[in-house]
Amino acid sequence: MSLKDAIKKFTDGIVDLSNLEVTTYTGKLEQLVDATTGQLKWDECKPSNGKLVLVAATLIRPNLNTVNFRAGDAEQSDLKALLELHTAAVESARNGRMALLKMFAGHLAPRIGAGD
Amino acid sequence: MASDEVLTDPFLALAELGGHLRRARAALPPLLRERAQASDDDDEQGPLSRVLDVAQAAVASLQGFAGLRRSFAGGAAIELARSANKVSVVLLGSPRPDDITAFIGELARSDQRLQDATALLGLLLGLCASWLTAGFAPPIVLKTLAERGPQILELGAALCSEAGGSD
Repeated sequence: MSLKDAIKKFTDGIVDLSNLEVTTYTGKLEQLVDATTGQLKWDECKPSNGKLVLVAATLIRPNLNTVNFRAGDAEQSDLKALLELHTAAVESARNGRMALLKMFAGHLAPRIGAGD
Repeated sequence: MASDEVLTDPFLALAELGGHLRRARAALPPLLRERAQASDDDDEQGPLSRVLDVAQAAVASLQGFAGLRRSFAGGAAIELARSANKVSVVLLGSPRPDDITAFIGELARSDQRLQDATALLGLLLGLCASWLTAGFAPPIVLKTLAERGPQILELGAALCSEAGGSD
């Protein structure tokens, strides 16, 4: 992937300020390890492949209303650490969006002002 | 691509930033040679080159924020991927709580680097917009780079120190 493609992929989300979605999945190693090489098949490590189990999901709406989902069947001992990780991912998603908005706000503000 | 389009579309402007910085770098040498001959001072290109190096490194650094992937002892692994308005986290195997805590710490440091990188990139977007408007006229590129150079170097240093701290 070129730098341009990577930047586009990373910044595409800011165009759509509707929702911000954070999902956390778990999976078994044996399902995603290449039996020949012993390496993880990261390319197959996608929520859509049917091998991963959803543990938690958060939807943040533009008005900052938040919908949380937590799977009930995760083992209690694992759940605390998993939810801490999910919460950190939600925080990171918010921080990432704010950083990008701030960056573009500085670029657009003079033009918006000039257009008045 | 029309420069007007780049000026009004910040996403396009960001994607084109690397190209603009290369164009600015190419625009400077003739003017700097002219100035050096006039003043016997040929030390202007070095600092400006460093400013442009830092700027180009900041653009390249954005690629590193698309995700974070770590493997742990026993084969467990965690991946966080950002794509459009979605962030997904996948845990494979059974990472220990300490592994998860370490990953969360690394994610926080990555977020801090992203803040530093976007602060610098926001500044560069403004700079490139002024260069585009001026048709990359060397005197304008030189003047604005000299004015903004210290701030670019300062933000670049913050970005580098964060990157160093996470290794």
